[in-house]
Amino acid sequence: MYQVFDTLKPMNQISASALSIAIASSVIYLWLRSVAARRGSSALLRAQSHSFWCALIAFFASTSGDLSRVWSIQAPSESPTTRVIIALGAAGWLTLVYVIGLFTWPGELRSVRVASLEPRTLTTPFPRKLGALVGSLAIFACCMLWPISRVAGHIPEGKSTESSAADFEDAVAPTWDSTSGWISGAEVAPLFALCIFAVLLATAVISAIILKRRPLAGISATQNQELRSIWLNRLLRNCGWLLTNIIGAAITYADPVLSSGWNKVSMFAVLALGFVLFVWAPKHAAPEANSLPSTAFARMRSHTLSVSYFANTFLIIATLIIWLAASELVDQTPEPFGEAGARAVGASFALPWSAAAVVLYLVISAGFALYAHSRAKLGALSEPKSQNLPVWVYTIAALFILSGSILLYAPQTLSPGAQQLLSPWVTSAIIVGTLVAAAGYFWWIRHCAVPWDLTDEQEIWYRQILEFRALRVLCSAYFLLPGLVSSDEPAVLAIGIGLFCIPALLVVNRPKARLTTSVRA
Amino acid sequence: MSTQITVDLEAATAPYEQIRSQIASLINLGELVAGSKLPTVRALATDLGVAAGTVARAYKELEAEGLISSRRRAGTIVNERATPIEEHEDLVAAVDHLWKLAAAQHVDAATLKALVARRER
Repeated sequence: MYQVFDTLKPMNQISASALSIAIASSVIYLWLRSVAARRGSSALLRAQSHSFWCALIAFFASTSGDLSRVWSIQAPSESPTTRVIIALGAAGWLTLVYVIGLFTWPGELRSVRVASLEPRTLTTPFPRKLGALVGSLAIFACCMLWPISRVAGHIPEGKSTESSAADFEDAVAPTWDSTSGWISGAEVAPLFALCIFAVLLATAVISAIILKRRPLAGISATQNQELRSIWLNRLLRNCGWLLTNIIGAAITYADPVLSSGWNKVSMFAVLALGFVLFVWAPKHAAPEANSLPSTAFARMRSHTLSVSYFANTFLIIATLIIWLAASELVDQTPEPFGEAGARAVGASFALPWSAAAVVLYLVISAGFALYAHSRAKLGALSEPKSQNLPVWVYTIAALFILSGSILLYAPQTLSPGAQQLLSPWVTSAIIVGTLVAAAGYFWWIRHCAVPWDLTDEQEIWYRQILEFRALRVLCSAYFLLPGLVSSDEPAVLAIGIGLFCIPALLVVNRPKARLTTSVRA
Repeated sequence: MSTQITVDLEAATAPYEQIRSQIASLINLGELVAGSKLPTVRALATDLGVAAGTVARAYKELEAEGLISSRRRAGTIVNERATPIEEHEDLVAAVDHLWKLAAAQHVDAATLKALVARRER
């Protein structure tokens, strides 16, 4: 009887996955369509924005899978079909998002159409150096199949217990202790090979479609060619990230047959490669020479984007370094202290430093505003125009900050039995320190001068956008800090990351650009 | 050097003729040199958003004029011109003179082009 339920379970999982994919596809489609059809911006800007969102969604969707499920023996054990689906997941999401991207491409057609007479080859817009890096990663990933195939299977040493859950699906499901085992390399190697092949095939097919696709009629042939390069750059970076992930997972799995240093070196190598791929930005298509002149608003927007780019990059790198250092401290903690002691050591290091990183984020952002202020000259004399964000934004932010503070003070509210890892004094110092820094930042952003000749509406937008981004980081930090120390609660981390990714345009409406050149700017 | 062509679907001139005349001009002016390869009928039709038959007809007429030749393997290639347009010294000198006159009388390039186009009718 239970065997019947066991055979039905993969089917239920597949139908549940299909439903999730359908819902996710609809949301992605609607979002990309709205980006492509946004009114008030040029076709080139919309095409660039569409390409960016497509690559970003593809990155998050394709790297969200956990490859360790391919080899781990857990209860209930994964069926072979599920393992194949997990192996194909990354390539599947990559293809799905890019295919949706092709159907949402801003394909407006004018009566006058432009085409280049230069035959389009597959190699012209192809980023060769990036392609070579991704090719090397693919070769390395393939080479990892050999050590993988030599790994022997391992059955966990935990005791099997029988649970009597009310839900018939989970009835008499054996549960294992935390030490889970893994299946043998002979079974895992084909799955890894399938995963690598699927990612490379998906990339090759999408590349061919990008190169052969119909050009956008609203922009010139040169810009179309540059857009193809941008699409290919982002696709290859996504592919590179996926291959890096696969290599990282392969090294973790093949740990028993590799020497002990591999895991540690690979962790830093994966981070370094991820960083290289992150900063390998494409060259943006330049507007036509006869297009509208650069406006004060455009310069101001470019400034805010630079602030965001530098400050966010700093924050991400700092968080990774702190996380790695904390993991190292936890590993080095002597055994007699136990797991709770090791976690307390990690937390006492990670939390204050992470809070310091948030404060530094605010300092960097304020530093950019100070640079703009110093260049303002005449602008410094005029009264700064500022306005509060909508009340609901402050209300929600206050709720998030309050919830995060409670989680920091009393982690047992989240998971019963959890212990307070930091002294209340340190926790109070972290909370007060970040709030005071944020208050100072908000005051400065509302009072600094701007060097551009902006309308009142645009100046308010500039201050609001900086304020919202800082508020976003602050709320995110209040969930990531307790999430980092209580690793049993991924939901808290997910909320923190989700808050960090909220786009500002949901809250602050972008003002219309004024076609003027400034004498001050 | 620009090797771009445009097609105005609302213009009085048929799309195939617009394609033909622009490619012919580019070849005559030497911007498409002998031996250079043109895009396939299907690729150019896709890029311009017109039917493949429209581009095929333009290519056929260019081939009849001896400006291009289609080969099974090599694709569509620009032919060698007997006398490049730059070698018609009298014509080039007349155009230079016309250009100077137009500049002196503040006539822009578009108006000048329209004046020349009138002669075609």
